[in-house]
Amino acid sequence: MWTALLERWRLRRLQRKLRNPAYAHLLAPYAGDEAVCIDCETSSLDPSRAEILSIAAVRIKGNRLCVSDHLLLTVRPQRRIDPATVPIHGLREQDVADGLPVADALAKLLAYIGNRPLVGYYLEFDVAIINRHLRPLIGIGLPNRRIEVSALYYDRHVSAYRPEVDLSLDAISHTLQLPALPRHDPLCDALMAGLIYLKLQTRTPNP
Amino acid sequence: MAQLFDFRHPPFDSLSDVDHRRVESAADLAYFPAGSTVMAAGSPVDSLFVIAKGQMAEFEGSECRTVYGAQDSVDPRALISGSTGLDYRALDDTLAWQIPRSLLLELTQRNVQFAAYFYQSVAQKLAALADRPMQRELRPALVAKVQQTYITPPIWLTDDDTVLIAAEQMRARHCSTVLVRGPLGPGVFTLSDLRNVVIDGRNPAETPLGDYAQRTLHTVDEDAHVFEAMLTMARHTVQRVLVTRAGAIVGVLEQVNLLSYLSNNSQIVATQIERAGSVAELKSAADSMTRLVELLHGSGVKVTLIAGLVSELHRKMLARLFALLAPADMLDHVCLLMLGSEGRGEQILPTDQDNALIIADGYDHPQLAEVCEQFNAALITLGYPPCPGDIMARNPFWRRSVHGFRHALDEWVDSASGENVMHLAIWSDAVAVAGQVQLLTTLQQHLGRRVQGNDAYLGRFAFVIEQFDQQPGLLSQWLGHHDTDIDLKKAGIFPIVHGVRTLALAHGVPASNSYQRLDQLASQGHLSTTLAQDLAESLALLQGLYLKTGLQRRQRGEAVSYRISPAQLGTLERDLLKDALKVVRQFRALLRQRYHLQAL
Repeated sequence: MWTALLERWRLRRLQRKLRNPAYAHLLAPYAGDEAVCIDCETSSLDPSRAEILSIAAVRIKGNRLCVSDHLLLTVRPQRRIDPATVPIHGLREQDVADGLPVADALAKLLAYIGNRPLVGYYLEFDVAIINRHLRPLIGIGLPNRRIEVSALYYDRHVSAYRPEVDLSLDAISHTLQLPALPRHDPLCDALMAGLIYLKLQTRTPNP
Repeated sequence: MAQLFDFRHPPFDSLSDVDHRRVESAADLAYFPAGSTVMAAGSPVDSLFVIAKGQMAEFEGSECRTVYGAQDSVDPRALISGSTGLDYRALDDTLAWQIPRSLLLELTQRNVQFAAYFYQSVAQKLAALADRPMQRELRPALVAKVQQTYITPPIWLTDDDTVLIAAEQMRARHCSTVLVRGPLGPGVFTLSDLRNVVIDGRNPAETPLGDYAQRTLHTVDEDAHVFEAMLTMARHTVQRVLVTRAGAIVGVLEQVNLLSYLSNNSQIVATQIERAGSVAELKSAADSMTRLVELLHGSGVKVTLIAGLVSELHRKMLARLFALLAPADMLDHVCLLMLGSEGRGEQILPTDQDNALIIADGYDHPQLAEVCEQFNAALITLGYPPCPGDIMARNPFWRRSVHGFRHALDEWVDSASGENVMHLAIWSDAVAVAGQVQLLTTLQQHLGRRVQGNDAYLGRFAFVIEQFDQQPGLLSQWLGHHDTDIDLKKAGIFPIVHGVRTLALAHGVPASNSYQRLDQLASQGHLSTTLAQDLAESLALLQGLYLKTGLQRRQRGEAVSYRISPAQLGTLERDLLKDALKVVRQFRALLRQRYHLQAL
């Protein structure tokens, strides 16, 4: 009851701040059974300065990751890439020179995800950077419900006997026996988050 | 985008890069928790699942029939038929790529090898239904043409003919199908229709066929692939299809005949050769042999097995050709030989012809030279290029009486020049193909008496290996830098073959095939079992590499050669090659020490 009221209050506040009415549908409550897993590669690890270099998003429908219908965008940053991060994401200046302007990329992203819930690993970081670029454009950040897979994992694995849970992606995918995908490729990272979500979401509770 | 889907497994390894991208862009990733249902019996099948991680199983009721693991496709049969009568469930938490049926069906229409993978499972299913043992490797047969199978000629009746007449025809012609012509167009009347007549209580002598004939005809063109006929049968659950040529019905292909065709596949080419009544008919057999080699190799059959099969067919081919050309009684007085790699049974792709003819002492025939001339000329048209050294029956040097060859053998042993050593090397691999084997046996016994225990001669015989020796530095350099070509024959095949040949000659081993020679030398204690095995494996690897690159060259229309460039090899193959060359070095050292080759 209270959460529903709070949610309505939150949406109403966002509606007031939304500058572009074309995006009003983002604020409608989501009724379907889909979600979208996303991941960004960024030019730095500081959310207040990082630029988006690439974004990947994959729709999750039922038990299926719709890889065939994925979104993968390269974004041209407005500032230089921090050379220290190049070995992590593998994107050099020349690799992103042909990318989309960030405004166009975000428009495509919004069209793809709609008002579906978002799934990700350390989603907070990605959403913070997206929102920093999004607010000046439409007035609000991503209003979508967020599902943090490391939190799902933590809830499942923490116990009084085992208060420490290793939340590294490697540890999670190892424990959940997921296949190894190439790391730091945004599509693979998004898929990995999607796999963790599917596995934890659909697992039948132990009797 | 990083490659997510692993295309290195059948059937996807037979697709082109362009098709790989299409599959990848159409594939979704599906997750099935342990125990959940993947496909339920009776439901339509619109995609193929390729397991990325985990296990699935196929259930009939509660009975588990098959378990599928990583990289397995689930389920090709259901995909082809579009529905399934079985339940598929995840045994573990399972991740699987889900590929749409429509795309895969489209790919099967353009890629024969890819198609054969799917229809092979259909074939095995059909065979299981027919309760008939089936060869494991069906693919070559599946891509054969319908017209190559056992098509029964059509038996035509009319709509007004009675069921009784049809039944009599079926008994007389041993068939289960008759065709019916009438104003409604052509129809089929089969044994099951006959059964319906009986069940309906109609009098066969008065019932016209028109009342029971089926007008829905399932046809395939005679140029279609065998699997298409099979698919038509599976899709419509019929036991026969009508075979058409340019739209007109030319025969009936019964499921029973199709299955027996598939199970007798290895015999097909052999039968084709044995029945050939002209050089042109042999030519078509030779062509299907090449196709067979390509398909067998493509299906991963071991090279020694292919070589065994092919050399058997080569022998039949030569024997049949000679019998076609020679006058009837000539074969009673001569012996046709295959020499060199043909004789050893290690020639997989015809490189050049090595043959000879022994004539019984005192026999002569005015056409003898002419027959040999024709024989060698016909072999050229069959795809065996002439031997550059002219080791052919048309050359009087290789066409002699027993006395003449005995004299030649003596001369080759007495004066061991390089040329004479090569003559004897080629001779010692001889195998009788047609005619009187006794003539060859006599000569080989004579040769054995001359060389066994004659270490001075054997040393000079073995010495050729040293002349073929490559700089060891050059080899390691090649393996390190990969920028120059390597000659497989000089670097490995020849040293092994000739070394084994020397030992076989020295110990009177009768076999002429290198692998058999190695077996026999090891079992008689002339070579350690380990070394014999290592040599056999190294030789198989080198010949396999030669076959692989040879087939690739031939597809590009280039001449087949023993030179390979390292760029064509994968890392694993390069490592294996390195090991094989190490074994060759070890073998060389052994021969060097046994026959004191440094002193020569």
